[in-house]
Amino acid sequence: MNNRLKVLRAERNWSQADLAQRLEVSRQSVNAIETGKFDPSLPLAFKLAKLFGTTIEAIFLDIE
Amino acid sequence: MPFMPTKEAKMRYRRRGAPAIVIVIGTFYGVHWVFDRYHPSEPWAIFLALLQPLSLIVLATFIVQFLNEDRDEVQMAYRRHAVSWATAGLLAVSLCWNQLGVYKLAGAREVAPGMAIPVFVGFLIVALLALKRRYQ
Repeated sequence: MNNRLKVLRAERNWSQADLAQRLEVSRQSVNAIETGKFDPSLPLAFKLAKLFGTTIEAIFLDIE
Repeated sequence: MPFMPTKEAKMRYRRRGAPAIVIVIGTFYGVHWVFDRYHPSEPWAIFLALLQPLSLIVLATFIVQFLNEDRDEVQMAYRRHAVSWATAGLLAVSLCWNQLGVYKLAGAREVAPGMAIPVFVGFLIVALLALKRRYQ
């Protein structure tokens, strides 16, 4: 699944490590989600949305 | 540390699981040692024979608990995937070796049940390396 994590992260000048720390996951996990290798669970998607102050649909795009 | 669970989860797990795992692995190899040295007869032999697979089931339960303690769902999925492949690998080797042994093919020798753990760990390491690219 495509997502806008990289863009949202860049807008805030956060590194993957910064985001990982805020999400309480490893940097590798942030990279896996960002590159679309792993689709996060609903609770983690909500956590991301809350962190970026937006909605889940604004982060994750249902485009193959 | 990228390959370990979150710090809190790791500490919780160590406090609860680590001593128990030592006992379980000790039981596993201890049973083999008793069989090897004392050749027990029934009913002790049956009890001991049951104790070994039971210790493996307990070990599997601890592995699942360990995975569930991890709040990092990507790493959890990664390790679960690797554990599944390692279990499948161990089953495949066991079935194949048993088949060769039953029909006395390829000079298959009897292997101590204790070999199950090193074989599982070997498959786990290979699976972790093979799946790394997919999850990270």
